[in-house]
Amino acid sequence: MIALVFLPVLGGIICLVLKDRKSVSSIVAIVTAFASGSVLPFVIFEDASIILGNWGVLGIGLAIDELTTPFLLSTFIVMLAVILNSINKSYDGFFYALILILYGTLNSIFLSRDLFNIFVTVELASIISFILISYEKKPRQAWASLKYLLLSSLGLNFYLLGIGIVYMETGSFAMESLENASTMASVLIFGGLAVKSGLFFFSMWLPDAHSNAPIEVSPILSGLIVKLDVYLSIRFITYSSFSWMRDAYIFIGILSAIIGVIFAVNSKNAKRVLAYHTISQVGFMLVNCDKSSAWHGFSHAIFKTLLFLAVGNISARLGTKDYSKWSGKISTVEYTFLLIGSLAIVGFPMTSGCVTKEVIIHGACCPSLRILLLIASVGTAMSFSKFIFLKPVKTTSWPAANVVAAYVILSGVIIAHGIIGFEIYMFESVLPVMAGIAAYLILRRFLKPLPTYLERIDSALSSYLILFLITIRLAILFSS
Amino acid sequence: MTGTIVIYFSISGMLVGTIGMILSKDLIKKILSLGIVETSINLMYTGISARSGIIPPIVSGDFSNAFYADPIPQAVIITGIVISFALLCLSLVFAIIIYNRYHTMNVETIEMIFEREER
Repeated sequence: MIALVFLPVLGGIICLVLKDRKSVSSIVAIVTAFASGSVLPFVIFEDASIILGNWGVLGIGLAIDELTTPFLLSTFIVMLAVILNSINKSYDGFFYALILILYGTLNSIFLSRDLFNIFVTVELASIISFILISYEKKPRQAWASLKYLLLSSLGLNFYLLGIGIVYMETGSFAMESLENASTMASVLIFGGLAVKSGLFFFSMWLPDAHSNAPIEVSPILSGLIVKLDVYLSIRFITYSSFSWMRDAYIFIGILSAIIGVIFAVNSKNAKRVLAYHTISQVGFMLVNCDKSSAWHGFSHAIFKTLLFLAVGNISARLGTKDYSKWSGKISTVEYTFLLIGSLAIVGFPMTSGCVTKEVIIHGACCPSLRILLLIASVGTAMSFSKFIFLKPVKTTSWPAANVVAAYVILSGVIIAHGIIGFEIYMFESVLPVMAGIAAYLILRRFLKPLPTYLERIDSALSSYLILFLITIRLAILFSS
Repeated sequence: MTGTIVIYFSISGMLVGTIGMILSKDLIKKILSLGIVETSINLMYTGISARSGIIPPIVSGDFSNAFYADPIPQAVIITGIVISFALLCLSLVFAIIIYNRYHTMNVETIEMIFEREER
Protein backbone atom coordinates (compact mmCIF):
# COMPACT_ATOMS: atom_id res chain seq x y z
CA MET A 1 0.00 0.00 0.00
CA ILE A 2 2.86 2.37 0.81
CA ALA A 3 4.31 1.60 -2.65
CA LEU A 4 1.38 3.47 -4.21
CA VAL A 5 2.64 6.65 -2.55
CA PHE A 6 6.32 5.89 -2.51
CA LEU A 7 6.98 4.78 -6.12
CA PRO A 8 5.67 7.92 -7.91
CA VAL A 9 7.47 10.26 -5.52
CA LEU A 10 10.70 8.30 -6.07
CA GLY A 11 10.19 8.57 -9.86
CA GLY A 12 9.61 12.29 -9.45
CA ILE A 13 12.88 12.70 -7.58
CA ILE A 14 14.71 10.79 -10.34
CA CYS A 15 13.13 13.09 -12.95
CA LEU A 16 14.21 16.12 -10.93
CA VAL A 17 17.81 14.87 -10.79
CA LEU A 18 17.84 14.16 -14.55
CA LYS A 19 16.18 17.52 -15.29
CA ASP A 20 18.21 18.43 -18.35
CA ARG A 21 17.75 15.17 -20.27
CA LYS A 22 14.29 15.47 -21.78
CA SER A 23 14.03 12.02 -23.39
CA VAL A 24 15.11 10.16 -20.24
CA SER A 25 12.62 11.89 -17.96
CA SER A 26 9.59 11.07 -20.10
CA ILE A 27 10.65 7.38 -20.14
CA VAL A 28 11.09 7.46 -16.35
CA ALA A 29 7.62 8.98 -16.04
CA ILE A 30 5.96 6.25 -18.12
CA VAL A 31 7.83 3.46 -16.31
CA THR A 32 6.87 4.91 -12.93
CA ALA A 33 3.23 5.27 -13.91
CA PHE A 34 3.12 1.65 -15.07
CA ALA A 35 4.98 0.44 -11.97
CA SER A 36 2.57 2.11 -9.58
CA GLY A 37 -0.34 0.94 -11.71
CA SER A 38 0.88 -2.64 -11.47
CA VAL A 39 0.67 -2.39 -7.67
CA LEU A 40 -3.08 -1.68 -7.91
CA PRO A 41 -4.33 -5.26 -8.67
CA PHE A 42 -2.60 -6.53 -5.51
CA VAL A 43 -4.26 -4.05 -3.15
CA ILE A 44 -7.70 -2.98 -4.39
CA PHE A 45 -9.56 -6.26 -4.05
CA GLU A 46 -9.50 -6.56 -0.29
CA ASP A 47 -9.95 -4.11 2.56
CA ALA A 48 -6.81 -3.46 4.56
CA SER A 49 -5.51 -0.88 7.00
CA ILE A 50 -2.19 -0.05 8.62
CA ILE A 51 -0.98 2.61 11.05
CA LEU A 52 2.43 4.11 10.40
CA GLY A 53 4.79 4.32 13.37
CA ASN A 54 4.31 2.88 16.85
CA TRP A 55 2.17 5.75 18.11
CA GLY A 56 -1.21 4.08 18.50
CA VAL A 57 -4.13 6.41 17.68
CA LEU A 58 -1.73 9.31 17.13
CA GLY A 59 -0.05 7.59 14.15
CA ILE A 60 -1.07 8.19 10.55
CA GLY A 61 -3.59 5.58 9.48
CA LEU A 62 -3.71 4.31 5.89
CA ALA A 63 -6.61 2.17 4.71
CA ILE A 64 -8.14 0.87 1.52
CA ASP A 65 -11.79 -0.03 0.90
CA GLU A 66 -14.45 -0.03 -1.79
CA LEU A 67 -14.81 3.77 -1.78
CA THR A 68 -11.12 4.26 -2.48
CA THR A 69 -10.96 1.92 -5.50
CA PRO A 70 -12.59 4.12 -8.21
CA PHE A 71 -10.44 7.10 -7.25
CA LEU A 72 -7.18 5.11 -7.25
CA LEU A 73 -8.05 3.61 -10.66
CA SER A 74 -8.99 6.97 -12.18
CA THR A 75 -5.78 8.57 -10.86
CA PHE A 76 -3.71 5.88 -12.59
CA ILE A 77 -5.53 6.06 -15.94
CA VAL A 78 -5.63 9.87 -16.09
CA MET A 79 -1.95 10.20 -15.18
CA LEU A 80 -0.95 7.58 -17.77
CA ALA A 81 -2.93 9.34 -20.52
CA VAL A 82 -1.55 12.74 -19.58
CA ILE A 83 2.05 11.51 -19.58
CA LEU A 84 1.55 9.74 -22.93
CA ASN A 85 0.10 12.92 -24.42
CA SER A 86 3.00 15.07 -23.20
CA ILE A 87 5.81 13.09 -24.85
CA ASN A 88 7.72 14.82 -27.67
CA LYS A 89 6.69 18.27 -26.54
CA SER A 90 8.83 20.95 -24.98
CA TYR A 91 8.31 19.78 -21.40
CA ASP A 92 11.46 19.19 -19.32
CA GLY A 93 12.14 16.94 -16.35
CA PHE A 94 10.71 19.47 -13.92
CA PHE A 95 7.22 19.07 -15.44
CA TYR A 96 7.36 15.27 -15.16
CA ALA A 97 8.70 15.54 -11.60
CA LEU A 98 5.74 17.72 -10.62
CA ILE A 99 3.26 15.36 -12.32
CA LEU A 100 4.71 12.28 -10.62
CA ILE A 101 4.89 13.88 -7.16
CA LEU A 102 1.27 14.99 -7.66
CA TYR A 103 0.39 11.37 -8.50
CA GLY A 104 1.91 10.12 -5.24
CA THR A 105 0.24 12.90 -3.28
CA LEU A 106 -3.20 12.13 -4.70
CA ASN A 107 -2.80 8.43 -3.90
CA SER A 108 -1.80 9.39 -0.37
CA ILE A 109 -4.93 11.55 0.05
CA PHE A 110 -7.15 8.68 -1.07
CA LEU A 111 -5.46 6.25 1.32
CA SER A 112 -5.06 8.49 4.36
CA ARG A 113 -7.30 8.25 7.43
CA ASP A 114 -5.78 11.11 9.42
CA LEU A 115 -7.33 14.58 9.29
CA PHE A 116 -4.12 16.56 9.59
CA ASN A 117 -2.34 14.36 7.05
CA ILE A 118 -5.21 15.05 4.65
CA PHE A 119 -4.67 18.80 5.18
CA VAL A 120 -0.95 18.52 4.40
CA THR A 121 -1.43 16.38 1.30
CA VAL A 122 -4.32 18.49 -0.04
CA GLU A 123 -2.16 21.60 0.36
CA LEU A 124 0.74 19.86 -1.38
CA ALA A 125 -1.52 18.85 -4.28
CA SER A 126 -2.83 22.44 -4.47
CA ILE A 127 0.64 23.97 -4.50
CA ILE A 128 1.73 21.62 -7.31
CA SER A 129 -1.40 22.44 -9.29
CA PHE A 130 -0.78 26.19 -8.87
CA ILE A 131 2.67 25.75 -10.37
CA LEU A 132 1.33 23.54 -13.17
CA ILE A 133 -1.46 25.99 -14.13
CA SER A 134 1.06 28.78 -14.65
CA TYR A 135 3.68 26.48 -16.18
CA GLU A 136 3.92 28.46 -19.44
CA LYS A 137 4.38 31.69 -17.37
CA LYS A 138 1.75 33.68 -19.27
CA PRO A 139 0.23 36.54 -17.18
CA ARG A 140 -3.28 35.19 -17.86
CA GLN A 141 -2.32 31.84 -16.34
CA ALA A 142 -0.55 33.53 -13.42
CA TRP A 143 -3.71 35.51 -12.70
CA ALA A 144 -5.96 32.43 -12.86
CA SER A 145 -3.55 30.58 -10.61
CA LEU A 146 -3.29 33.46 -8.11
CA LYS A 147 -7.08 33.70 -7.90
CA TYR A 148 -7.23 29.96 -7.22
CA LEU A 149 -4.44 30.25 -4.65
CA LEU A 150 -6.05 33.05 -2.64
CA LEU A 151 -9.46 31.35 -2.51
CA SER A 152 -8.23 27.83 -1.88
CA SER A 153 -5.75 28.70 0.86
CA LEU A 154 -8.38 30.81 2.63
CA GLY A 155 -10.72 27.81 2.48
CA LEU A 156 -8.13 25.38 3.76
CA ASN A 157 -7.51 27.67 6.73
CA PHE A 158 -11.17 27.18 7.65
CA TYR A 159 -10.60 23.44 7.34
CA LEU A 160 -7.63 23.74 9.70
CA LEU A 161 -9.82 25.66 12.18
CA GLY A 162 -12.38 22.86 11.93
CA ILE A 163 -9.94 20.06 12.68
CA GLY A 164 -8.51 22.17 15.50
CA ILE A 165 -11.98 22.14 17.06
CA VAL A 166 -12.20 18.37 16.47
CA TYR A 167 -8.89 17.95 18.31
CA MET A 168 -10.08 20.12 21.20
CA GLU A 169 -13.21 18.02 21.55
CA THR A 170 -11.84 14.52 21.10
CA GLY A 171 -8.06 14.71 21.54
CA SER A 172 -7.17 12.98 18.29
CA PHE A 173 -6.73 13.73 14.59
CA ALA A 174 -7.89 10.28 13.48
CA MET A 175 -10.88 10.24 11.13
CA GLU A 176 -12.95 8.12 13.54
CA SER A 177 -13.01 11.01 16.01
CA LEU A 178 -15.36 12.88 13.64
CA GLU A 179 -18.09 10.62 15.02
CA ASN A 180 -18.08 12.58 18.31
CA ALA A 181 -17.38 16.02 16.86
CA SER A 182 -19.81 18.96 17.05
CA THR A 183 -21.79 20.38 14.12
CA MET A 184 -19.69 23.57 14.11
CA ALA A 185 -16.53 21.61 13.41
CA SER A 186 -18.20 19.68 10.61
CA VAL A 187 -19.50 22.90 8.99
CA LEU A 188 -16.01 24.40 9.06
CA ILE A 189 -14.50 21.22 7.55
CA PHE A 190 -17.19 21.13 4.84
CA GLY A 191 -16.84 24.85 4.05
CA GLY A 192 -13.09 24.67 3.88
CA LEU A 193 -13.09 21.80 1.42
CA ALA A 194 -16.04 23.15 -0.61
CA VAL A 195 -13.85 25.89 -2.06
CA LYS A 196 -11.92 23.20 -3.95
CA SER A 197 -15.00 21.17 -4.88
CA GLY A 198 -16.09 22.99 -8.01
CA LEU A 199 -19.64 23.62 -6.81
CA PHE A 200 -21.21 26.75 -8.30
CA PHE A 201 -20.92 29.86 -6.01
CA PHE A 202 -18.35 28.05 -3.85
CA SER A 203 -15.52 27.87 -6.36
CA MET A 204 -15.87 30.51 -9.02
CA TRP A 205 -12.11 30.42 -9.67
CA LEU A 206 -12.69 27.19 -11.58
CA PRO A 207 -13.66 28.23 -15.15
CA ASP A 208 -10.72 30.63 -15.40
CA ALA A 209 -8.15 28.18 -14.05
CA HIS A 210 -9.38 25.16 -16.02
CA SER A 211 -9.70 26.96 -19.32
CA ASN A 212 -6.34 28.73 -19.18
CA ALA A 213 -4.20 25.83 -17.94
CA PRO A 214 -1.86 24.00 -20.39
CA ILE A 215 -3.31 21.05 -22.38
CA GLU A 216 -1.98 18.36 -20.05
CA VAL A 217 -2.91 20.14 -16.83
CA SER A 218 -6.64 20.81 -17.40
CA PRO A 219 -7.52 17.06 -17.31
CA ILE A 220 -5.64 16.65 -14.02
CA LEU A 221 -7.43 19.65 -12.51
CA SER A 222 -10.84 18.61 -13.72
CA GLY A 223 -10.51 14.86 -13.28
CA LEU A 224 -8.52 14.57 -10.08
CA ILE A 225 -8.06 17.77 -8.03
CA VAL A 226 -11.80 18.49 -8.08
CA LYS A 227 -12.47 14.88 -7.00
CA LEU A 228 -10.62 15.42 -3.71
CA ASP A 229 -13.60 17.17 -2.20
CA VAL A 230 -16.04 14.66 -3.73
CA TYR A 231 -14.07 11.79 -2.19
CA LEU A 232 -13.73 13.45 1.21
CA SER A 233 -17.44 14.36 1.26
CA ILE A 234 -18.46 10.77 0.49
CA ARG A 235 -16.09 9.60 3.22
CA PHE A 236 -17.14 12.13 5.88
CA ILE A 237 -20.89 11.84 5.30
CA THR A 238 -20.90 8.40 6.94
CA TYR A 239 -20.06 9.98 10.33
CA SER A 240 -22.96 11.14 12.45
CA SER A 241 -21.76 14.73 12.91
CA PHE A 242 -22.04 15.20 9.13
CA SER A 243 -25.59 13.90 8.77
CA TRP A 244 -26.91 17.42 8.03
CA MET A 245 -24.74 17.46 4.92
CA ARG A 246 -26.92 15.02 2.98
CA ASP A 247 -29.84 17.47 2.97
CA ALA A 248 -27.62 20.46 2.27
CA TYR A 249 -25.96 18.70 -0.65
CA ILE A 250 -29.30 18.00 -2.35
CA PHE A 251 -29.93 21.76 -2.56
CA ILE A 252 -26.38 22.82 -3.37
CA GLY A 253 -25.77 19.97 -5.80
CA ILE A 254 -28.90 20.43 -7.90
CA LEU A 255 -28.33 24.21 -8.00
CA SER A 256 -24.80 23.65 -9.23
CA ALA A 257 -25.84 21.01 -11.79
CA ILE A 258 -28.38 23.31 -13.44
CA ILE A 259 -26.58 26.68 -13.30
CA GLY A 260 -23.33 25.12 -14.58
CA VAL A 261 -25.19 23.72 -17.58
CA ILE A 262 -26.82 27.10 -18.33
CA PHE A 263 -23.42 28.78 -18.42
CA ALA A 264 -21.93 25.96 -20.52
CA VAL A 265 -24.68 26.02 -23.16
CA ASN A 266 -24.09 29.71 -23.74
CA SER A 267 -20.30 29.65 -23.89
CA LYS A 268 -18.38 29.88 -27.15
CA ASN A 269 -14.94 28.89 -25.90
CA ALA A 270 -14.59 25.08 -26.08
CA LYS A 271 -12.39 24.81 -22.97
CA ARG A 272 -14.77 26.99 -20.98
CA VAL A 273 -17.67 24.71 -22.01
CA LEU A 274 -15.77 21.80 -20.48
CA ALA A 275 -14.89 23.82 -17.37
CA TYR A 276 -18.53 24.76 -16.74
CA HIS A 277 -19.46 21.13 -17.23
CA THR A 278 -17.10 20.18 -14.44
CA ILE A 279 -19.22 22.39 -12.15
CA SER A 280 -22.39 20.71 -13.37
CA GLN A 281 -21.08 17.14 -13.08
CA VAL A 282 -19.81 17.74 -9.54
CA GLY A 283 -23.33 18.84 -8.70
CA PHE A 284 -24.60 15.54 -10.15
CA MET A 285 -22.12 13.57 -8.04
CA LEU A 286 -22.95 15.27 -4.77
CA VAL A 287 -26.74 15.05 -5.09
CA ASN A 288 -26.73 11.58 -3.62
CA CYS A 289 -23.48 11.29 -1.81
CA ASP A 290 -22.68 7.56 -1.77
CA LYS A 291 -20.91 4.80 -3.70
CA SER A 292 -22.68 5.62 -6.97
CA SER A 293 -21.21 9.11 -6.92
CA ALA A 294 -17.74 7.63 -6.40
CA TRP A 295 -18.18 5.63 -9.61
CA HIS A 296 -19.57 8.67 -11.42
CA GLY A 297 -16.40 10.43 -10.30
CA PHE A 298 -14.39 7.65 -11.93
CA SER A 299 -16.22 7.82 -15.25
CA HIS A 300 -16.21 11.64 -15.19
CA ALA A 301 -12.44 11.68 -14.71
CA ILE A 302 -11.97 9.38 -17.72
CA PHE A 303 -14.25 11.07 -20.25
CA LYS A 304 -13.31 14.58 -19.13
CA THR A 305 -9.65 13.70 -19.68
CA LEU A 306 -10.45 12.44 -23.20
CA LEU A 307 -12.44 15.60 -23.97
CA PHE A 308 -9.84 18.00 -22.54
CA LEU A 309 -6.98 16.27 -24.37
CA ALA A 310 -8.89 16.19 -27.69
CA VAL A 311 -10.09 19.79 -27.41
CA GLY A 312 -6.67 20.99 -26.22
CA ASN A 313 -4.82 19.28 -29.08
CA ILE A 314 -7.27 20.57 -31.69
CA SER A 315 -7.19 24.13 -30.40
CA ALA A 316 -3.39 24.07 -30.18
CA ARG A 317 -3.22 22.92 -33.83
CA LEU A 318 -5.79 25.37 -35.18
CA GLY A 319 -4.83 28.26 -32.89
CA THR A 320 -8.35 29.05 -31.70
CA LYS A 321 -10.52 27.85 -28.82
CA ASP A 322 -13.74 29.01 -30.55
CA TYR A 323 -15.43 25.76 -31.56
CA SER A 324 -17.52 27.38 -34.30
CA LYS A 325 -14.33 27.97 -36.32
CA TRP A 326 -13.32 24.28 -36.15
CA SER A 327 -15.97 23.00 -38.51
CA GLY A 328 -14.39 21.58 -41.66
CA LYS A 329 -10.88 21.71 -40.22
CA ILE A 330 -10.65 18.73 -37.86
CA SER A 331 -9.67 15.28 -39.11
CA THR A 332 -11.88 12.18 -38.86
CA VAL A 333 -9.69 10.56 -36.19
CA GLU A 334 -9.91 13.59 -33.91
CA TYR A 335 -13.64 13.84 -34.53
CA THR A 336 -14.19 10.18 -33.59
CA PHE A 337 -12.57 10.53 -30.18
CA LEU A 338 -14.30 13.88 -29.55
CA LEU A 339 -17.58 12.12 -30.37
CA ILE A 340 -16.89 9.22 -27.97
CA GLY A 341 -16.13 11.69 -25.17
CA SER A 342 -19.21 13.79 -25.91
CA LEU A 343 -21.50 10.76 -26.04
CA ALA A 344 -20.08 9.56 -22.72
CA ILE A 345 -20.71 12.87 -20.97
CA VAL A 346 -24.28 13.19 -22.29
CA GLY A 347 -25.00 9.62 -21.12
CA PHE A 348 -25.60 7.76 -24.39
CA PRO A 349 -26.12 3.98 -23.87
CA MET A 350 -23.02 1.75 -24.05
CA THR A 351 -20.74 4.43 -22.56
CA SER A 352 -19.55 4.81 -18.98
CA GLY A 353 -21.38 8.11 -18.50
CA CYS A 354 -24.73 6.42 -19.11
CA VAL A 355 -24.15 3.66 -16.55
CA THR A 356 -23.15 5.88 -13.65
CA LYS A 357 -25.50 8.78 -14.44
CA GLU A 358 -28.57 6.53 -14.66
CA VAL A 359 -27.72 4.99 -11.30
CA ILE A 360 -27.57 8.49 -9.78
CA ILE A 361 -30.84 9.62 -11.40
CA HIS A 362 -32.64 6.45 -10.28
CA GLY A 363 -31.17 6.70 -6.78
CA ALA A 364 -32.49 10.26 -6.29
CA CYS A 365 -34.65 10.60 -3.23
CA CYS A 366 -37.84 12.18 -4.61
CA PRO A 367 -39.57 12.64 -8.02
CA SER A 368 -39.08 16.40 -8.25
CA LEU A 369 -35.34 15.96 -7.75
CA ARG A 370 -35.33 13.33 -10.50
CA ILE A 371 -37.03 15.76 -12.90
CA LEU A 372 -34.48 18.48 -12.11
CA LEU A 373 -31.64 16.02 -12.76
CA LEU A 374 -33.22 15.07 -16.10
CA ILE A 375 -33.41 18.77 -17.02
CA ALA A 376 -29.71 19.09 -16.23
CA SER A 377 -28.88 16.12 -18.46
CA VAL A 378 -30.98 17.58 -21.30
CA GLY A 379 -28.87 20.72 -20.94
CA THR A 380 -25.69 18.63 -21.05
CA ALA A 381 -26.82 17.03 -24.31
CA MET A 382 -27.68 20.48 -25.63
CA SER A 383 -24.25 21.92 -25.03
CA PHE A 384 -22.38 18.89 -26.38
CA SER A 385 -24.43 18.94 -29.60
CA LYS A 386 -21.98 21.71 -30.52
CA PHE A 387 -19.24 19.10 -30.77
CA ILE A 388 -21.46 16.40 -32.29
CA PHE A 389 -22.46 18.66 -35.20
CA LEU A 390 -18.90 19.64 -36.16
CA LYS A 391 -18.02 18.61 -39.73
CA PRO A 392 -14.83 16.53 -40.08
CA VAL A 393 -12.75 16.44 -43.28
CA LYS A 394 -11.25 13.25 -44.68
CA THR A 395 -7.50 13.37 -44.45
CA THR A 396 -4.90 10.63 -44.36
CA SER A 397 -2.82 12.40 -41.70
CA TRP A 398 -2.99 10.89 -38.22
CA PRO A 399 -2.08 12.58 -34.95
CA ALA A 400 1.18 11.45 -33.34
CA ALA A 401 1.27 7.81 -32.19
CA ASN A 402 1.57 8.60 -28.47
CA VAL A 403 -1.46 10.92 -28.59
CA VAL A 404 -3.52 8.23 -30.33
CA ALA A 405 -2.36 5.70 -27.69
CA ALA A 406 -3.64 8.00 -24.93
CA TYR A 407 -6.98 8.45 -26.75
CA VAL A 408 -7.36 4.70 -27.32
CA ILE A 409 -6.70 3.82 -23.66
CA LEU A 410 -9.26 6.35 -22.47
CA SER A 411 -12.00 5.47 -24.96
CA GLY A 412 -11.35 1.75 -24.36
CA VAL A 413 -12.02 2.28 -20.65
CA ILE A 414 -15.15 4.31 -21.43
CA ILE A 415 -16.65 1.65 -23.73
CA ALA A 416 -15.60 -1.33 -21.58
CA HIS A 417 -17.13 0.26 -18.47
CA GLY A 418 -20.25 1.11 -20.47
CA ILE A 419 -20.73 -2.45 -21.69
CA ILE A 420 -19.91 -4.21 -18.39
CA GLY A 421 -22.19 -2.02 -16.29
CA PHE A 422 -25.06 -1.86 -18.78
CA GLU A 423 -28.58 -2.83 -17.75
CA ILE A 424 -31.68 -2.82 -19.87
CA TYR A 425 -33.54 0.02 -18.13
CA MET A 426 -30.72 2.37 -19.07
CA PHE A 427 -32.06 2.65 -22.63
CA GLU A 428 -34.33 5.40 -21.38
CA SER A 429 -31.29 7.68 -21.23
CA VAL A 430 -31.68 8.10 -25.00
CA LEU A 431 -34.70 10.35 -24.36
CA PRO A 432 -32.90 13.29 -22.67
CA VAL A 433 -30.12 13.03 -25.27
CA MET A 434 -32.61 13.33 -28.15
CA ALA A 435 -34.48 16.14 -26.37
CA GLY A 436 -31.21 18.00 -25.83
CA ILE A 437 -30.14 17.70 -29.48
CA ALA A 438 -33.56 18.90 -30.65
CA ALA A 439 -33.45 21.81 -28.21
CA TYR A 440 -30.01 22.75 -29.49
CA LEU A 441 -31.18 22.80 -33.13
CA ILE A 442 -34.10 25.07 -32.19
CA LEU A 443 -32.36 27.39 -29.77
CA ARG A 444 -28.84 27.69 -31.16
CA ARG A 445 -29.54 31.09 -32.68
CA PHE A 446 -30.19 32.60 -29.24
CA LEU A 447 -27.07 31.37 -27.45
CA LYS A 448 -24.72 34.15 -26.32
CA PRO A 449 -21.86 34.04 -23.76
CA LEU A 450 -23.14 35.04 -20.33
CA PRO A 451 -21.36 37.74 -18.30
CA THR A 452 -18.43 36.51 -16.21
CA TYR A 453 -19.10 38.96 -13.39
CA LEU A 454 -19.15 36.22 -10.74
CA GLU A 455 -15.67 35.06 -11.69
CA ARG A 456 -13.91 38.28 -10.66
CA ILE A 457 -11.83 37.78 -7.54
CA ASP A 458 -13.88 39.99 -5.23
CA SER A 459 -17.22 38.52 -6.26
CA ALA A 460 -15.79 34.99 -6.13
CA LEU A 461 -14.56 35.61 -2.57
CA SER A 462 -17.80 37.20 -1.42
CA SER A 463 -20.03 34.57 -3.02
CA TYR A 464 -17.95 31.85 -1.33
CA LEU A 465 -18.22 33.49 2.08
CA ILE A 466 -21.95 34.28 1.73
CA LEU A 467 -22.71 30.67 0.75
CA PHE A 468 -20.52 29.53 3.64
CA LEU A 469 -22.64 31.58 6.07
CA ILE A 470 -25.83 30.20 4.52
CA THR A 471 -24.48 26.66 4.97
CA ILE A 472 -23.78 27.32 8.64
CA ARG A 473 -27.40 28.43 9.00
CA LEU A 474 -28.63 25.34 7.11
CA ALA A 475 -26.50 23.05 9.25
CA ILE A 476 -27.90 24.48 12.48
CA LEU A 477 -31.40 24.12 11.02
CA PHE A 478 -30.98 20.51 9.86
CA SER A 479 -29.09 19.18 12.85
CA SER A 480 -31.51 20.52 15.46
CA MET B 1 -7.01 30.19 30.79
CA THR B 2 -4.12 31.43 28.63
CA GLY B 3 -5.08 28.93 25.95
CA THR B 4 -8.69 30.07 25.76
CA ILE B 5 -7.72 33.74 25.48
CA VAL B 6 -5.25 32.91 22.69
CA ILE B 7 -7.88 30.87 20.81
CA TYR B 8 -10.48 33.67 20.86
CA PHE B 9 -7.82 36.23 19.93
CA SER B 10 -6.69 34.17 16.96
CA ILE B 11 -10.22 33.55 15.68
CA SER B 12 -10.85 37.31 15.71
CA GLY B 13 -7.57 37.74 13.82
CA MET B 14 -8.84 35.30 11.23
CA LEU B 15 -12.03 37.31 10.76
CA VAL B 16 -10.00 40.52 10.38
CA GLY B 17 -7.83 38.89 7.71
CA THR B 18 -10.84 37.53 5.82
CA ILE B 19 -12.53 40.95 5.79
CA GLY B 20 -9.27 42.48 4.62
CA MET B 21 -9.13 40.04 1.70
CA ILE B 22 -12.59 41.11 0.53
CA LEU B 23 -12.29 44.85 1.04
CA SER B 24 -8.80 45.72 -0.20
CA LYS B 25 -8.36 46.35 -3.92
CA ASP B 26 -4.57 46.05 -3.86
CA LEU B 27 -3.10 42.67 -4.72
CA ILE B 28 -0.25 42.87 -2.20
CA LYS B 29 -2.70 43.85 0.55
CA LYS B 30 -4.84 40.85 -0.32
CA ILE B 31 -1.81 38.56 -0.02
CA LEU B 32 -0.84 40.18 3.29
CA SER B 33 -4.39 39.62 4.60
CA LEU B 34 -4.05 35.96 3.67
CA GLY B 35 -0.81 36.01 5.69
CA ILE B 36 -2.73 37.37 8.69
CA VAL B 37 -5.30 34.55 8.39
CA GLU B 38 -2.56 31.92 8.21
CA THR B 39 -0.62 33.35 11.16
CA SER B 40 -3.80 33.51 13.24
CA ILE B 41 -4.57 29.86 12.60
CA ASN B 42 -1.02 28.88 13.53
CA LEU B 43 -1.42 30.87 16.74
CA MET B 44 -4.67 29.04 17.43
CA TYR B 45 -2.90 25.70 17.46
CA THR B 46 -0.45 27.05 19.99
CA GLY B 47 -3.46 28.11 22.02
CA ILE B 48 -4.93 24.60 21.81
CA SER B 49 -1.74 23.09 23.19
CA ALA B 50 -1.58 25.71 25.96
CA ARG B 51 -4.94 24.69 27.37
CA SER B 52 -3.40 22.04 29.64
CA GLY B 53 -0.53 24.28 30.80
CA ILE B 54 2.25 26.46 29.44
CA ILE B 55 5.42 24.70 30.63
CA PRO B 56 7.45 23.42 27.62
CA PRO B 57 6.80 19.67 27.16
CA ILE B 58 10.38 18.55 27.83
CA VAL B 59 10.39 15.76 30.40
CA SER B 60 13.16 16.19 33.01
CA GLY B 61 13.24 14.85 36.56
CA ASP B 62 10.05 15.28 38.53
CA PHE B 63 7.08 16.10 36.29
CA SER B 64 4.21 14.81 38.37
CA ASN B 65 2.58 18.09 39.36
CA ALA B 66 3.68 20.42 36.57
CA PHE B 67 1.21 21.62 33.89
CA TYR B 68 2.86 20.71 30.61
CA ALA B 69 1.72 22.02 27.21
CA ASP B 70 0.21 19.46 24.86
CA PRO B 71 2.99 18.65 22.34
CA ILE B 72 0.83 17.23 19.52
CA PRO B 73 -0.75 20.44 18.11
CA GLN B 74 2.62 22.15 18.37
CA ALA B 75 4.26 19.32 16.47
CA VAL B 76 1.72 19.19 13.65
CA ILE B 77 1.43 22.95 13.13
CA ILE B 78 5.10 23.18 12.15
CA THR B 79 4.03 21.64 8.84
CA GLY B 80 1.26 24.23 8.61
CA ILE B 81 3.76 27.05 9.11
CA VAL B 82 5.96 25.70 6.31
CA ILE B 83 2.95 25.39 4.00
CA SER B 84 1.77 28.95 4.66
CA PHE B 85 5.31 30.20 4.00
CA ALA B 86 5.37 28.34 0.65
CA LEU B 87 1.95 29.71 -0.32
CA LEU B 88 2.96 33.30 0.43
CA CYS B 89 6.17 32.91 -1.63
CA LEU B 90 4.27 31.42 -4.57
CA SER B 91 1.57 34.12 -4.53
CA LEU B 92 4.22 36.86 -4.48
CA VAL B 93 5.90 35.21 -7.50
CA PHE B 94 2.59 35.32 -9.39
CA ALA B 95 2.14 38.97 -8.34
CA ILE B 96 5.60 39.77 -9.77
CA ILE B 97 4.73 38.07 -13.09
CA ILE B 98 1.54 40.15 -13.34
CA TYR B 99 3.26 43.39 -12.31
CA ASN B 100 6.03 42.98 -14.88
CA ARG B 101 3.47 42.77 -17.67
CA TYR B 102 0.82 45.33 -16.66
CA HIS B 103 2.61 47.65 -14.16
CA THR B 104 -0.32 47.80 -11.78
CA MET B 105 -1.39 46.06 -8.57
CA ASN B 106 -5.00 47.19 -8.62
CA VAL B 107 -7.25 44.14 -8.96
CA GLU B 108 -10.03 45.91 -10.85
CA THR B 109 -7.64 47.36 -13.44
CA ILE B 110 -6.02 43.96 -14.02
CA GLU B 111 -9.38 42.24 -14.50
CA MET B 112 -10.55 45.01 -16.86
CA ILE B 113 -7.43 44.51 -18.98
CA PHE B 114 -7.99 40.74 -19.14
CA GLU B 115 -11.66 41.09 -20.09
CA ARG B 116 -10.73 43.52 -22.86
CA GLU B 117 -8.05 41.12 -24.13
CA GLU B 118 -10.52 38.27 -24.37
CA ARG B 119 -12.88 40.11 -26.64
